[in-house]
Amino acid sequence: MPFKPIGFILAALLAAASTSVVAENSLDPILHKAIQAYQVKPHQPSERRLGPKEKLGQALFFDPFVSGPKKIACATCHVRSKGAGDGLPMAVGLGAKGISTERLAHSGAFIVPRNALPFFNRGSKDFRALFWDGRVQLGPTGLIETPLGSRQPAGFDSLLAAAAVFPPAEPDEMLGRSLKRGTQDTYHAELVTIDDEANNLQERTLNAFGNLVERLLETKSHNPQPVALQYRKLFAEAYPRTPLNEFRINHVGNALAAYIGAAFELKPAPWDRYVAGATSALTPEQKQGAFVFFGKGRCAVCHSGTQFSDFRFHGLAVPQMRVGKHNGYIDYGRAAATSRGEDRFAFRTPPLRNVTETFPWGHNGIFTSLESVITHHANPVPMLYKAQQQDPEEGSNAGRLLGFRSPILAEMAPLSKAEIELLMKFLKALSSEPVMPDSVALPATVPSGDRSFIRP
Amino acid sequence: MRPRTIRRLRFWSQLVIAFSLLFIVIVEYGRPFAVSWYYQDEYSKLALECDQSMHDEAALRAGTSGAAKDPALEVSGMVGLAVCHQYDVLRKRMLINGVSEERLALIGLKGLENEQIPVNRMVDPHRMDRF
Repeated sequence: MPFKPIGFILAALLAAASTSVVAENSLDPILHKAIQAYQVKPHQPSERRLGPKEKLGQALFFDPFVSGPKKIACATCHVRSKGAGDGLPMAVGLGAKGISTERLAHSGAFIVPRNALPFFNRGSKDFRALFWDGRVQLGPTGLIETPLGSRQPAGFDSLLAAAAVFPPAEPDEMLGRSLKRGTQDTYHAELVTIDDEANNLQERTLNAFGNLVERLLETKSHNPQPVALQYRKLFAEAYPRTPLNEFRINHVGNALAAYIGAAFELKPAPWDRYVAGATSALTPEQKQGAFVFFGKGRCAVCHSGTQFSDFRFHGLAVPQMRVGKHNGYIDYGRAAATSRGEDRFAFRTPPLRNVTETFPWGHNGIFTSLESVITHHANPVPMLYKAQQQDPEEGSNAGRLLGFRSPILAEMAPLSKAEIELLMKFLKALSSEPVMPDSVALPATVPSGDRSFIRP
Repeated sequence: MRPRTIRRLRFWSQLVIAFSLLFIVIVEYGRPFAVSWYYQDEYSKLALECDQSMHDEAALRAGTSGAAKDPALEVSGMVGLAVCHQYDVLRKRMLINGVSEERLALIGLKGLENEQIPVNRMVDPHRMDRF
């Protein structure tokens, strides 16, 4: 008879002792101190609607009419169901058909040697540098800086607006090349009306900008084609005070930016709700992951702010895989934008919103798992070695890549496999759906009538 | 007093004394043993992590690494030090629950041995001026 109460008392004592320790070890107070230390603010979506300017941007975004040979659109490589990218290591430009993996079936297509960047929250003013190399960025005085330098056209509302018009003027992406350098499928047609054999980026881009506006609106024609008539209507509704002959590339960019900003704006993620005070928004494991992220992992040193990027440039010693925008199939990254040797092999810190959805990762899409990305930050040797095994030429670059590796990465404390798992769980807490549903974000059709790229 | 009442009193007094003794044994010996057994791995892990965080934070504060002295790196070092707070909390809780200082020291030592870390690492946290 007395043994039952004894057992009960023993169990109660142990339980009381155990729970008291666990309760005191809650991570919330510490995590909130970290949030204060980093001055982290939650993402709060602004009110977005599909007004006339956004509708013009939507048409331009999905219509292959914008590209030189009229065979590719922004939506080809920025697919909503593929994390606003294309799900490929590197984008497949002109010369292919379809979206995402469908484009791999065309072996003669142009490869755009960088991973297509997602568009999440790109309408936010947090973004101070766009593209992997930040070639479109806000300068120290807040002015928009682009590869066009002093010849950059005026009138762009935002950095995104200035950036949005460059892919349509990139030969491999949307513009196309001369017939000498390609086929009808990759021909720039009337979008380039200068002799571009010298490959003069500024001349060609400005030429393409003017010709694109003319293609869209046929401003000099008294009997425009039906496509141009539709675009005239959309432009007039978006910019009611601008006469037809005063439309320029900035109006195209501003409309595209308005649409991208609205269509890819994200709802608050569990992390945002947690920062705003909802302590149950994160699981205990996600909280532990956040603690690693902001602490010993040093992740938040570069992946900082509301968008989880410092919009600066760092080298990770990512294998080159014989693809790149520069001579010898090398990608010098940021150095191509700044012409500074010390910027070689550095790329913009990727924002981490919805990063779990944007497979594959890295500037050349070499990472097929988030675990491999995180591991590579701490130890690039295995991946460099693996790359060398696959291609001995890779070994000749390894020393240089390591030499340009960011010294910040040397400060990462060793992370266990369990801690990397926790980090990945935390990254999941940065995911959320776009505010705008597909039913609104996708158009029924486009002025050219080519609906090939209207896909969820 | 009636014999039956005396028998009852004797029985209950013995029972109360037995429970009291048992309670003392459990609180004084059972509870510390159970708590140290249950938390020794976590305590050991936190002790090591705290040690490492203190080194890291001191290095980042002093800017002794290849990275330029970076305010964000320093903040990460400070946040990393929060593991020492967790260590302290667990240590205090274990002490409150009757685990002795000696027992905690032993767990710490065993942790260092398990990690193949030389004993001098254990006293390093007290030499933060070395950076």
